[in-house]
Amino acid sequence: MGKVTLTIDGKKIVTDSKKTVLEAATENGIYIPTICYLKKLNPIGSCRICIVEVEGAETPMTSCQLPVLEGMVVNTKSDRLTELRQTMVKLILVNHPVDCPICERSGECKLQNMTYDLGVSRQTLKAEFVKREKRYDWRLVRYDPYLCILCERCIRICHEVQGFSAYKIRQNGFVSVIDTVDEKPLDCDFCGQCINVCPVGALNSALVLPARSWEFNKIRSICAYCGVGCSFLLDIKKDKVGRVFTDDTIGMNNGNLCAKGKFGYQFINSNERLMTPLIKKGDTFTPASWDEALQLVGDKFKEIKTNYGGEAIAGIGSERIPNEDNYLFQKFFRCILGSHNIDNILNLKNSGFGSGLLETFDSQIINSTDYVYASDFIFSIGADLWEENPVIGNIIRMALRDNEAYLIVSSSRNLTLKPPPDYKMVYRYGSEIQLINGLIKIISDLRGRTEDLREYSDHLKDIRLEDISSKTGISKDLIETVAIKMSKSKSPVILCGSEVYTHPLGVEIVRNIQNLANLIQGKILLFREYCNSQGVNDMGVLPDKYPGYRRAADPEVKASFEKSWGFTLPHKNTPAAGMNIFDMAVNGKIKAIYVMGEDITLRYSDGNQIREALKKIDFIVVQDIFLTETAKAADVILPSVSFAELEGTFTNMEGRVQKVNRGIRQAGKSKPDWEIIHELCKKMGTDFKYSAPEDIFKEIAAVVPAYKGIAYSDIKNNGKLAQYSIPSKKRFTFIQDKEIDGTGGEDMSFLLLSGNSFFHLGTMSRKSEAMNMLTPECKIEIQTSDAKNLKIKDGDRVIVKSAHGSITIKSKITNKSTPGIVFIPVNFENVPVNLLTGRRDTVTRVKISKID
Amino acid sequence: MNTLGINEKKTEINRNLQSSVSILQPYMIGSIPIDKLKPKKVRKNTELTLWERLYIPEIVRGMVVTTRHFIFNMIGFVFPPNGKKRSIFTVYYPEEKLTLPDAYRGRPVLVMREDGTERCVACGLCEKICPALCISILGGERENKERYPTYYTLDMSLCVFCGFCEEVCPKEAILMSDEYEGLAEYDRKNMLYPKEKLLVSEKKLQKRIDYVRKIYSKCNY
Ligand code: SF4
Ligand code: SF4
Ligand code: SF4
Ligand code: SF4
Ligand code: SF4
Ligand code: FES
Repeated sequence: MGKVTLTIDGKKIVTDSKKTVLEAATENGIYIPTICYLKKLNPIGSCRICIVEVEGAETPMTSCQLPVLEGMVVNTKSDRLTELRQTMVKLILVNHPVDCPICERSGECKLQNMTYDLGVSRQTLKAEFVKREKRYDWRLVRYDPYLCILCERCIRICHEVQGFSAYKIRQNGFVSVIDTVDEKPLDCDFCGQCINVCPVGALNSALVLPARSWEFNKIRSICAYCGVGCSFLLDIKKDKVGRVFTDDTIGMNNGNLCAKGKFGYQFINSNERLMTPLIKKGDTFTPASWDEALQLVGDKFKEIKTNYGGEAIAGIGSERIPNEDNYLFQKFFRCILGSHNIDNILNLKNSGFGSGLLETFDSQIINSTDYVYASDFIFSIGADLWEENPVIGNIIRMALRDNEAYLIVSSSRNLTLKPPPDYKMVYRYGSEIQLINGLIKIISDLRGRTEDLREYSDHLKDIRLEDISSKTGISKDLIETVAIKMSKSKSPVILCGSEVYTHPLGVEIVRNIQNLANLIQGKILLFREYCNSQGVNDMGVLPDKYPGYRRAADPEVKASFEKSWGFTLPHKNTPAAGMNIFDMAVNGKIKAIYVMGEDITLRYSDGNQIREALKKIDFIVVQDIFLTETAKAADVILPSVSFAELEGTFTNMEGRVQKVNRGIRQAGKSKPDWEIIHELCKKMGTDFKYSAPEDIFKEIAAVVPAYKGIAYSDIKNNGKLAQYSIPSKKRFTFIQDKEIDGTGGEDMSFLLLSGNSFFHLGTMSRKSEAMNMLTPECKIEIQTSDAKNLKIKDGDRVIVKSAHGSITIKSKITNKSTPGIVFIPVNFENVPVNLLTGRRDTVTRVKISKID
Repeated sequence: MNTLGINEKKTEINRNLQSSVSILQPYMIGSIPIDKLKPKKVRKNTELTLWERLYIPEIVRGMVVTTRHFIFNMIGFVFPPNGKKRSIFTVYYPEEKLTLPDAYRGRPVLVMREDGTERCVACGLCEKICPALCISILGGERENKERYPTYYTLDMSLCVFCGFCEEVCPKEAILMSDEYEGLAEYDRKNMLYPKEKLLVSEKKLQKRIDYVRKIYSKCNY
């Protein structure tokens, strides 16, 4: 990139030749007013407020579109410019009703500010009144054409960043308005980006704003849904979250949000929230005081500890609760109860991606999304790219736009992506390793064998592309084309989605991807399901690892933790291979369980086992914000708080430690999780003497190597990246393909996949009205030809039967599933999918029959 | 009664914007432009004369005035003049009440339209301007997409009766009524007036509305 020198308002400026005059001026503190310009979008110059005078040019030019040139002399302020800008504003206002008292954006409206800034106090122009139609039928979005200034920000963001391209301008000239492309009611991703960027109040959320913009207390926080960890602003008034908003460029998400982040906040102020501790008496729950409830829990735990030993008490940490709370949770178990029986659902499902993070893999799979922003080649495997962690989708689209990057999507489902990727590979479920081996073979053939590949090459010889093509169901040409593109790329990234991390062979697949990544010098990004899926593991809510993935069985590690914590820690017994907490519970070894912020009944993969286990356990304590399915089985329920009511840190899928700030008062008598545990410790005779999450974080930074050097007060804005160090290991390890076991009888011909539906994540979003409106019920996705064979029509009720159980569910016919695969969302408490599935090391086959 | 629906109102506002620029004219009080108003001269303390400084004569003068009032009052009380009951010199509150001038600022109230709904559109301007921070609003939307306050409280224990809320309101939705009675309470909690307690029908407030229109020369309703 070359440098150019230009003069703006008499100031000499040296800048990159790719910049525009507006960018160069802004960087150097020279203010040019703008309305339609947005940093993350391509400028189109529709408002013409940003005009500047350039020496030698007759007419003023829009600075947002004007590239800098060597020796340019630019003038941003003059009487003529002010007068022209005033006229522009008057022209916009001529059609704009001054509805500021009821307009949702009043107070933060670009037009309002510009009118004021430019001192427009009198309208001298007149125009014919044109009748337009307000749109209230666009579900979560509303459009008021009277207020629209046709800046096209909404069109551009939906096209460039969201990729949905929902809008167009209908009709020309004076009567033009924004409309959907097909002129039907809007049915889009409902990411709300268009609402965020609209400079005036023309696009609004259908969730009516309860207060004016200036009344809100803006609290910067982190989205508590998925693993991306988007930053946003919670607008709060009277202890209620009025809306979620973002700025143009805040956070690692660049101001982008998805539907859950933008509209899924209603659970915070839901009146279903638990307000007081509850104790089960007989069959009903009776409200109790904190003192009473904690005393009961403390006494029970003590009793069980003396009678059966600490190991008889188990704990489940949470993927959506801050690091500090999880850290204290495991410390409580290890120091006070003397039990290593703690775990989290991610680790229970596949410990390779939980406790084995630093051991199983040969290189780092937790990487920053900055690599995606800068990459020129993006390869995704097993990820429903636009839907799983939606804002990663936005980042990819921006990379596609800015770097002209290639996008290759491979998945066992036939995803419809907007915009379509350069190449799409739909493989057969279970053939992932083959596919990657194929790619490796072609690339290594192209590049020639290097030294460290020698051992590997023997294996490569046996690989025949024809076999791979027939096994994966992808044509040989396509694999070759992709491999060639891949080998030419400069900074490739490989994204592994939920299909990989829930796959029975997930670990092997990722290890094979590492071979590929090492070969092409790429970076791997592993998707994470929840906001703190990464953090809960870092904090050592694991049966075999202390915080920082340090081996519990290692006596040295034990000694070092005993020293830093000042407690005698329990010896780690090696449990029988493959035994987890719920196995032990079924065997009667667990007498009490403490579940913090997790609905294990619905989330654990073996639904039958977990239900049986909970029946066997004598004493169940559940700490949550709603009366979940698990809480219904509890003996004591402790009400905790939502992310808006607490302070702490989340660690996202990139290992970025980000701060969650407290915005509202705790609902009812509920308390943050760490406070509850802290009080419970006091009841059991130990005072940890923490006064705030900050104290706990200090300790975390001291004992977790990856968090070393992160000071709590320094975690601002974009957070801090944790530094995972993986002992350097072999670069290439050949991965043999394995068959995956399936459960199910002869007549069960469909493969069952389950995951989150687009507008839901876990069961938290089910308490948000807006999300329920978008996806109100659970439907099984069946491929069109399969449905035809089974004579199922869209919306028919079907029975899905597996070796483990059966459920009744409505059907949805779609081409997203491939033949032989059905998909059921896991978010609905009335359709517990985990009743159909068993342990995670197998796939489940199901039979589908129609109900007549 | 203003029966315009919200859409028509908007078009009207729109038309107003296009056809008249009166809202943008210099600020007026009544019909006098603000810059024509001159402050009166303030009388400063002056030196006392020798006679005044002698003290005794001034006391006597004061006592004479007091005694005169006392005697006149007593006679007037015992023998009221024709046609009057007994109230020639003072108002016998609470049996008798003053006729309040139009400009009197009693407790602020919300205007209730004939159909029982409030005129207020929850614009929050009164909340913003109130110097005593006594107003608190949450907005919502009616079936017909009209904005209204779902929650409106006014803390009468804080209100200083300044009338700013009335002045700023773009919808003539909050007015200073002529009510000054029954505001005292034994418990501060009761002084937090909810919306229901604030609503007063339009008819009752018509006089004030007329007055407000005159005094603030509002035009765009
Ligand atoms: S709706 Fe908003 S963002 Fe879209 S063109 Fe109109 S003013 Fe611009
Ligand atoms: S909500 Fe998102 S997807 Fe829908 S139109 Fe707006 S920007 Fe596009
Ligand atoms: S992408 Fe994930 S973190 Fe970002 S807004 Fe959506 S749910 Fe929240
Ligand atoms: S009269 Fe003054 S103090 Fe009272 S509510 Fe109105 S603005 Fe506030
Ligand atoms: S200023 Fe008027 S319309 Fe606005 S909130 Fe107050 S009372 Fe309602
Ligand atoms: S900001 Fe440049 S034309 Fe609108």
